[in-house]
Amino acid sequence: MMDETRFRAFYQETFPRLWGYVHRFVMERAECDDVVQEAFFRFLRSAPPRLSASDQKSYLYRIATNLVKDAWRSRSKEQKWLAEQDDDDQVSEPESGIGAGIDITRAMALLSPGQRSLVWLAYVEGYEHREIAEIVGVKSASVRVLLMRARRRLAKFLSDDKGEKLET
Amino acid sequence: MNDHLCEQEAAVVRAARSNEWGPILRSHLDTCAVCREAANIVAAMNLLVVAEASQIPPTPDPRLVWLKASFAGRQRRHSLISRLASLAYSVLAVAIGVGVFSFIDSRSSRSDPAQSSSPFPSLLMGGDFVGPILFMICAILLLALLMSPSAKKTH
Repeated sequence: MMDETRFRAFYQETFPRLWGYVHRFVMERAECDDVVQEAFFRFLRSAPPRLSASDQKSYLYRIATNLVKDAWRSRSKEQKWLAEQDDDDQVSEPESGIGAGIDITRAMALLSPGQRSLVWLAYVEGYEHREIAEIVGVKSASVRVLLMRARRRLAKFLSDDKGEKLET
Repeated sequence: MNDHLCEQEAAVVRAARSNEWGPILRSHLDTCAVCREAANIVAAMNLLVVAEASQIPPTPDPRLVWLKASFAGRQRRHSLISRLASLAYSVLAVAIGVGVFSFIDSRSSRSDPAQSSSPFPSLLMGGDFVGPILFMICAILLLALLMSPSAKKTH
């Protein structure tokens, strides 16, 4: 198990971003706190020794993702983690820009939880496709396509939102 | 589908996150709608992170999680020791069985001259007194284990 000093530093460094990540899926603050604490607890119990700093972080994110998936499944078994709605195939051409004042929070909430996870890990945390595959538990080759779909969908929501705001 | 994928996307995302654009990537961005879109998403996500930073609660003291994990680790080790003790009981039970058998075997060979002149004397014991001594040692060990604190908790 990681010694207390190292864990303290790791915790201080990763807690805010991990909380932000979990909060994308678990809106209830108390539940979000619980998931984050449980993720750190399981990390301490099960993380293999001698992991590099980046591997430690991705290991923690993998645990958190699994916890969030479990919470999501127990809440609504019908909804699939990586479910996509029918209109996903109707993707628009890439937009040239995203204006300021776009409600990115709302657009993110419109994505499926799995897509939110992919977008966050890729564009906020900056993980490589291989690492994302390990964290979310899909094949590495699938991440590129899944991420592309998620990105396309988010861009569509953002551009729709921009259009709506311009009209009003 | 390939219209929505670009080999440069990973490099563009890295550049957008660090805001360190090389001339090649910047010129690529002018011509590639996919990478432009990815860069825009990164910018939007940065806005989101900044906007939501105030919602993130202050980092709690990690000591509680640390203590909980340490305690769980100790319990796990203790449970492993208990399982090993149970295994030791089983081994002792077999050893006692062998000891008793040998003891009886050595007694019967003394009382039966035909047995004692057997060309295959007790292979396990090698003598009349070894069996009883082994039996006594096993019994003492078993008693000691039964009285040990870990064994008490197991049962």
